Amino acid sequence: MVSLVGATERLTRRTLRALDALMHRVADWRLNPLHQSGTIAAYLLAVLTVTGLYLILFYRVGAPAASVQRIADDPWLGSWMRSVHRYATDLFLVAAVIHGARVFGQARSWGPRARAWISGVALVGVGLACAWTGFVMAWDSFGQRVALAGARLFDVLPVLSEPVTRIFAGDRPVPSAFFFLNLFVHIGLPLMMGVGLWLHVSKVARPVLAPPRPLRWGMVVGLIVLAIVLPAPLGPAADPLRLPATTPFNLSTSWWIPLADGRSPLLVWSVVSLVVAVAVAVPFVTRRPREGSFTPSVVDPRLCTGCDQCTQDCPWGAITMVPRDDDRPTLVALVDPALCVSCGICAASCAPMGVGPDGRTGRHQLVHIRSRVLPGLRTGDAAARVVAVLCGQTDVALRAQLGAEGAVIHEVPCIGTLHTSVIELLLRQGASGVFVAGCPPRDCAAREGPKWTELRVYHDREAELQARVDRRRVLLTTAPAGLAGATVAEFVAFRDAVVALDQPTVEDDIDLRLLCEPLEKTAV
Amino acid sequence: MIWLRRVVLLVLGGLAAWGLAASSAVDLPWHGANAAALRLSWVARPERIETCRDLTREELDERPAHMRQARECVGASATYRLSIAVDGQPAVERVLRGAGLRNDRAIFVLDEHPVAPGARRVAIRFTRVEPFEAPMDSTDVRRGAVPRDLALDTVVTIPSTAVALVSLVDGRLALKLP
Ligand code: HEM
Ligand code: SF4
Ligand code: SF4
Repeated sequence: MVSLVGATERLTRRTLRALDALMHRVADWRLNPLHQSGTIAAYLLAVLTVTGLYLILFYRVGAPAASVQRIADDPWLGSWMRSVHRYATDLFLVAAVIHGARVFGQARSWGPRARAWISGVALVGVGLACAWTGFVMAWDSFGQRVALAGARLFDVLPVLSEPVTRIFAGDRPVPSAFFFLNLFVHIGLPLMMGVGLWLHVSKVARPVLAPPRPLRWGMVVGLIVLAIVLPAPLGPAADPLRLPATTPFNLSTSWWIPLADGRSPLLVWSVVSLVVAVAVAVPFVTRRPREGSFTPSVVDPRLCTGCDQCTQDCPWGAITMVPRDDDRPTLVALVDPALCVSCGICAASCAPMGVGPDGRTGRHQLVHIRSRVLPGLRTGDAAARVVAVLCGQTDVALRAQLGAEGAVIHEVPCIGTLHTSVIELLLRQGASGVFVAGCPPRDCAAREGPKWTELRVYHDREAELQARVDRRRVLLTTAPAGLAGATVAEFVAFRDAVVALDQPTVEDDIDLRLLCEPLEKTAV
Repeated sequence: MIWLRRVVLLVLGGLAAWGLAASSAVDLPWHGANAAALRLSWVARPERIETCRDLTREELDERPAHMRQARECVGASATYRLSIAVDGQPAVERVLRGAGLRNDRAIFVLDEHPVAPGARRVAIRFTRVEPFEAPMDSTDVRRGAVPRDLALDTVVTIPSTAVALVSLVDGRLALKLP
């Protein structure tokens, strides 16, 4: 079971990475929509709300098909508002599924993320139900088909004694009360989705809900152009006494209808229940034991100066400041292990290196560098002493290619966990340059790694790279999937530039304590 | 060359958008070009068949004061046989009961049969299964209960893509075309 789950995660990750790589080779990785699938889904919800509010003004429950036809016939706002609403629905569901697959592939589906996962599954379910009611509202031949398919499923449930299907039999007009109820549900479900989205990101600190501006405008303008050039089709008005030969197709809602047509509703329910059960079970089956790389962060209260930085940097809001139980006047940081996802970002935010998952705090990083990396930097010319610090999520091929260029590879779980003192130590003890390559910021599995690293290295965010460090010897860059060649080229240019600089004297055996911010009563 | 990569992104986005719109323009087969159907749809309140008897004076005296009801009935709702034949070929033969756990609610008749378009002889019967002269002491025709025997035997021309709907109008089976 565990290996099956692991294999599925790996397969998902590799598939998405291959798509990323393809995208990055031809287009600008900064705007890769696959990295933005969650924000795109959230943004499309807003687009759907705005266009939906407009459409509702012209919708009539007493004459649903005629009112939608009138909207579609309005060559100006009506037609394209309706089409944008339709196409945004499809895009929303596609984006949500890609986003779900992405977090699954990055093993971000368990532990404190379980709430986000399960509410995400619910958001997709409610989104599908909402799309369903939307098509019924239009009451064209496709709406009739969707309504009948839904009624057939509903009728096997022991809820109503009168079959819902009878409403559509044609012996009396479909009552406007039905369309009123349908409209009510169509408006109520998005309200639920609003609450669902709030729940979805409620444990995430500083959730990003909007894609970057070019994507935002690109999507809105693209949808409008699409709506004008290829308006969404509307079938002939529903007639219960007609058997249309075909209906329009819809990517997000109707792919399952031919599969369900003619099948027993109980079978369809069983398949749906199975899919939902599997989706909801994901956080439980992907759960990792909280040890090794998944051990929660801890604070060493002796080292904590109460600076509050880790609480500002933790992407999961897992750290709070609490009163100390000794006589020092400051507060002390406290990690809630139930909220901590073990990303290790806090390890790099703490100047005195007093916080982080066991084995990954700044202190552990320095010790590791000293024992494993520095010995290799004692000899060789400047070109052979450039250290490449790579995020473990970057392309596997990158390691070999950088190695072939003479880089000394140091892999970290995320560059956001790299304490700036490590860079300083490397440069003072033999490295001629430090090249740090991470993931595209919106693809960071730890959410905010590249963002904090950039601020720490170049903009004095705590725990900042000290001013005494020669910035010409440090390069922070992004290594997007599929662009290993470009990253290597960047490395080579950087290496050549640092080799051309005067080489600094290697400081022998510096006291690690010097690298840390004021250390009161503590020892390394 | 970042602008070139953004142009490529724009083109890819355009292609995806076009794919999305094109998928919406696809016709999804439903009933096919030459479909026609016979649909039955009505609600029938079943009769209630009861056996009643008058209690004797002695029996009444034995009961507590609040339970002294002179006439006592036990019974059940009638069941109905639905049979449909198209062009002389039996299509359906089924016994229907009222909805609900005790089958005392209405019977919801809803049946659809594909038929070939054109002139079809349609024969439908909906009759009570329990004999009219029930072996029980009495039967009670409820207000609003469905007639004991409903029949329709007619020739109807059903165009292709149309449904011929049989429903219950004023106590009789009636046929409607679009
Ligand atoms: C349906 C619409 C959805 C929207 C609008 C949406 C939006 C978002 C947003 C904005 C975030 C925060 C991202 C960030 O700032 O880093 C997020 C996180 C997350 N989403 Fe969704 N999501 C949706 C569906 C889903 C689905 C279907 C799943 C999985 C089944 C899912 C699983 C998650 C998880 C696990 C996280 C937390 C990831 C992390 O930060 O480690 N979401 N989502
Ligand atoms: S960053 Fe370090 S010193 Fe500052 S509050 Fe957190 S644990 Fe304490
Ligand atoms: S490892 Fe640190 S930054 Fe990451 S979730 Fe835990 S406490 Fe927050």
